[in-house]
Amino acid sequence: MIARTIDLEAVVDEDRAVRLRSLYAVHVHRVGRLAYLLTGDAALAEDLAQEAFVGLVARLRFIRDEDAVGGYLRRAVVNLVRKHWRKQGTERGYLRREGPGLVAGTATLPDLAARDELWQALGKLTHRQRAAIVLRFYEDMSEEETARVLRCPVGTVKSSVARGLGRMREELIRDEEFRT
Amino acid sequence: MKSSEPDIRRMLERRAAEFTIGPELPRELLRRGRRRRIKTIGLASIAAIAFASLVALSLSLAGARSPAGQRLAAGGRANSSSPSGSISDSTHPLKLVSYVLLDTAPKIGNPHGVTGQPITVAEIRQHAECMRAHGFDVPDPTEQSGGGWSTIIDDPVARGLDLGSPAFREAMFVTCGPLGGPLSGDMVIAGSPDKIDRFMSCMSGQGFGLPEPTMDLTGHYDAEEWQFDLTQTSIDTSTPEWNRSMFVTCFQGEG
Repeated sequence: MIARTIDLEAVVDEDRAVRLRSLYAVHVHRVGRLAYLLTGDAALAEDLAQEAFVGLVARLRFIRDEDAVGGYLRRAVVNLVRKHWRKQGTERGYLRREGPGLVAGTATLPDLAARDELWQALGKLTHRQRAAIVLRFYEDMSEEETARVLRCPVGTVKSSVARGLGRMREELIRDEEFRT
Repeated sequence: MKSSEPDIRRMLERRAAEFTIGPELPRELLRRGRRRRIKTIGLASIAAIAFASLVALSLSLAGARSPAGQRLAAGGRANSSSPSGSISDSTHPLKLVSYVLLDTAPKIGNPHGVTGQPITVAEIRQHAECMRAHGFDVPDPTEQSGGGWSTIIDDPVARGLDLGSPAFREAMFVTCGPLGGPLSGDMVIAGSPDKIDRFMSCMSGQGFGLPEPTMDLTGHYDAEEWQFDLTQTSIDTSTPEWNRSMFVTCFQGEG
């Protein structure tokens, strides 16, 4: 901690790399899947999962309790997804201001192979509603744990889940009406 | 209509299973992590300098303009014995985040809190009397509506108080207690890595070899907060020597 030679730093770094490889192998699937459920985009989820591990590298020397790594990564991914959507919101605002011609370029074709009513309904929720539902029903977290990860009161988690589920139901009803 | 919770759980499991990623750590990721670490340490140093300047500025403003008040110590909710507070000055921008009095098991959901005997307003009042007896014109604590207490010093310069002086700290943390200890569990200090290094080196020079700090990954602390698990050591934190090293010598002894 106080003073290190360059050689010792190299040894410490190598040790860190071995440890990180092991942590990556253990956690990357779960972290990536969480990112995928939060974004609905596999390529983006992979990027965000790796970004969470980049943050972990910077903190690795302070980790004593490796059981806490999963919690750290989960929280990091939720924060990264939130930042991503915030940035996207800013970009969409810019596109709206700059004119419809630019917006047309961002349209995507419907993914017929991935069609799933519930999945599509999930995609129409706000970030917080979606995150609350994924953390509660996929990660099996309690309302208190979800509130800690989302950094909001427990009441907000409850209302986010309830409103999210309500909106998903509305989407499904609308979808059924449209088909009939 | 497929919208029940079990349906949503099944859908999430099914969708999650579609996502695959290789278990091999990309080499680039390690390099990016190292760069991030270096950048973080650099930013932390800048932030520490900025924080120190801010503290110095607010202290000088306190002397010049006699603002509403300066908080000397705050906390001590009636059911808590964890006196958290800020102890910082222009030469040593470290902040004491958590400093837990010796007691029993941690509270559920808060590994840094403890249960048991609270610090009472009467004890703080006694402490203030002791400070006054030693020539430091500290006001009595005031009770807060939530059951806590605080001691606010209006215009410390006009009262002839230098809150950062070794004499004041000696009286505050060593002579008068009881804010001094004994302690157990976590001691958490915020500061840049080089300041923490110097603090640890100073404590070691005083005969108190602190354990390597760990960072709490459960979300309780920020990146620049360092947690020392004193239960790993045989340090007796109830002694005046500990309090003197901790609060007088090493928090401001060397810049």
